[in-house]
Amino acid sequence: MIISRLIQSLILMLCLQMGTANAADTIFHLGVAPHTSARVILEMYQPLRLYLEKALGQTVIVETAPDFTEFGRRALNQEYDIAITTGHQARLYQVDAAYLPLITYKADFKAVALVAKKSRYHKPADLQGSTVLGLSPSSLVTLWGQHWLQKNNLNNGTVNYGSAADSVSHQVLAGEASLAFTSLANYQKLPQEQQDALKILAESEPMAGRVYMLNKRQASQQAKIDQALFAFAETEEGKKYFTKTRLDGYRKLRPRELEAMEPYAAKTRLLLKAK
Amino acid sequence: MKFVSPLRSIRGRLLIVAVLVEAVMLTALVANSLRLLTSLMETQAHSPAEQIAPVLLAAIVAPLAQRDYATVQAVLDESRAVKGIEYLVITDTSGHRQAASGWPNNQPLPSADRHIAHFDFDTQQPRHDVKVPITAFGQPMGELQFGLDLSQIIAANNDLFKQGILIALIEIILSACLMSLLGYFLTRHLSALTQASEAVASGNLTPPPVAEGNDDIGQLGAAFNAMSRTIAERIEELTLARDEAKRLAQAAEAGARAKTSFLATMSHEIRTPMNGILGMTDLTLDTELTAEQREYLNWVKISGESLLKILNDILDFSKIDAGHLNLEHIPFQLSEVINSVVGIYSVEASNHGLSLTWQADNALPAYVRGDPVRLRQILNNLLSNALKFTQQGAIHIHVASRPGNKTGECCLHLQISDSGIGIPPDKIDMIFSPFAQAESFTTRKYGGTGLGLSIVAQLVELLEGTIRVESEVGKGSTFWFTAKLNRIKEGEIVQKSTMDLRGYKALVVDDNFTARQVLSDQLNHLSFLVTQAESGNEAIKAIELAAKNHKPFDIVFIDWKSIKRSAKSLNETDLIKKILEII
Repeated sequence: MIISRLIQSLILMLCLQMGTANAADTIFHLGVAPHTSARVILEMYQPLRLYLEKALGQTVIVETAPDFTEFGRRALNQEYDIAITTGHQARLYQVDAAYLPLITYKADFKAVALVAKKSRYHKPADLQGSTVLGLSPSSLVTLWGQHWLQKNNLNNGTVNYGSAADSVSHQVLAGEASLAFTSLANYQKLPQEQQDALKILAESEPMAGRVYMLNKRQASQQAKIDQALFAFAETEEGKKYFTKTRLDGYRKLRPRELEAMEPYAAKTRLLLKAK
Repeated sequence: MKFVSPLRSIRGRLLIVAVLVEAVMLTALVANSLRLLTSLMETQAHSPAEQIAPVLLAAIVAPLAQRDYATVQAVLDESRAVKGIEYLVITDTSGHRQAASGWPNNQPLPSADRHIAHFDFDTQQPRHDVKVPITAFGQPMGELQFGLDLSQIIAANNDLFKQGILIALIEIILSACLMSLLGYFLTRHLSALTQASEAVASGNLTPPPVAEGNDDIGQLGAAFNAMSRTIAERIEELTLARDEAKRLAQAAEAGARAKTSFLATMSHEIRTPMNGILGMTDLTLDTELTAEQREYLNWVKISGESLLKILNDILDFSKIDAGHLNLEHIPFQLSEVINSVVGIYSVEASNHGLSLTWQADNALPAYVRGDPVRLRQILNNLLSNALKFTQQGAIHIHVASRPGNKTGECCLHLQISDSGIGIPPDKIDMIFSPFAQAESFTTRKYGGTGLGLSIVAQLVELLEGTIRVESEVGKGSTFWFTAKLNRIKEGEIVQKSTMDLRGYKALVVDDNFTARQVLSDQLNHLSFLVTQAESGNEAIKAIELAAKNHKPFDIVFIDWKSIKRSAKSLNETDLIKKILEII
């Protein structure tokens, strides 16, 4: 009895190990930069994940990272098959880790500076000496924000970092910070009540927002993946996704669109190296 | 109080049934409660798994999505601080263990339990292993496995089980006590009734009254008391009646004894002078008399003998009726007895022109042991009756003998047939009753007391025999009777020797002169040398004198009643002793 149960257990363990080994080999890692909370990211990219699984015939998982810096480090470490990240990091991965640019969203990506409507911060000068929030030192909105602070001579304040757009928005509304940098898209995803309580103090020019970068080891599947992504945009799920996220769909990267992100990429490279 | 087995008393049976029902119901109740409790505790044991898993998953989904395993480890460590969680392990979708708390990294995980089954754990540290898949918005992210420590729950379950058993036992004991008390109050009157009934059964017919009431048992008690009272009254009546009957019987017995004693005394008192009359008449008839005087004296003698016979009958009847008649058991020659009786009546029969014969079977024993006097008396009565009621024809006696039931015993069968007047059929049954004759006319015509056949019947009964009569009016009667005798051999008989009594000295003691004189004259006729004494003292003096002169008496005749009357200081025993001493 004991021997038969032992044999059964051994067979089961072997089967499980074999199964897990196969699964490990075939898992397709879809890395998403932590532009918002991990749960939001997971929820947001599930339709795409499911479609890609069907299209590629392999398991696809959505991953993120605790912050942009860590995400960049993992991307440079070749841990993602597709990395969805901001333009400046995409440029970094392209240059430093040979990622292949795939697509970006049709909707413009803009960074915004948010203040509470009921606060005393009505113009940039009101922020003098106050604490502002960014998402991550290496995120595009943070880098743009820092650039905007310098441009408005607000160098004597403090920059702190939050994990996601909704988090920093809450902190601003709670009076813990005077201003928060986030993307316009994320601002628009906030609950209406929260949006109404906030005010956009500054808005960037359109930038290369989230770019899909393909790991070089998946180069052979680039066409297939490209096709799958555009096909997803045409599905009901994809349309719902783009309607909900107001990203309007996918488009091919314009020539030299990533190269324009080189200054931000350089800063990010320095940050990553410093870390 | 008598011990009664519990199974045989209503109270015991009720108690046993109630306790059994209580035990069964409590067992079912406790078992069901324990089952429900166990199920509930299993659910409770399982619910932490259901409660912990979502919270943990919610906490680790984000760090897992971020692959922030340090945070995951921190969450696991923090979660394990909660009492009851033994270990927590997270594996990713590739099956790699990414975080573990409370479980060694190099040790394989135990198999997850499908469910908690009745706490049938045989390990010292019971544990419920749960494996939960981690998914977020439909995306598999790995697996969470954790172990719940069930020792406290199992300990609580065991405590509940023990307490349940204890409560059930206490309940049964309390119920048994309560039922006993209730049974006692319900059946105590019944017990009292049972004891009272047992008292009646054991002889105490008037036990103390039992409790009465309006309920069934109370009414039963009232009915029992009423019955007991009735029985007591009836017993009192019967006791009084029995005592009265006893008193009457004793009075009747005393009366009968007095009557018998009176009759015996009177018969004796009358017979003594009658013997004097007859003796003197005989003596006178032996003297020179004229023919006329002789005829008159013969009539006196006949009348005296008739009167003496009547007196003898009365005396015998009284003795038999009082149970004072004792039979003799002496050897005698049967044919001699019959011959002597037949011889007596032969002359009378011949005078009446009747034929009197007797015949015996060859098997008739020559010698037997019994009472020849009473046998002769029976024959006398039957023959005298036959002669009395037979005017012509013959009287025949047939004697036969059959072996008896015992060794040496013989049954004498004696039949007397006559050709007399016969007995009417409706009178046959009463002829053996005392003072009864077939017709009052018969008494007037033939005389007699009517005691003869009654005495015969009683004598036959004393001889362990039976008597019957067959008769036809005008043709005659046949009386037959049986009597048990003992057969004896001829050699055992001591032949009587003929003695020459002439010159023998005899002393006659009687305070009645006539009786003394008659007996003295009769002894003189037998050539005795007779001396007379009026009293016991006088008799002693005569005996002493004779002894002194070396001429002692050869025989002494003493009338015992006269000694009682004359010798106040000596009773008959003392006198006889005295006489024997002198002789």
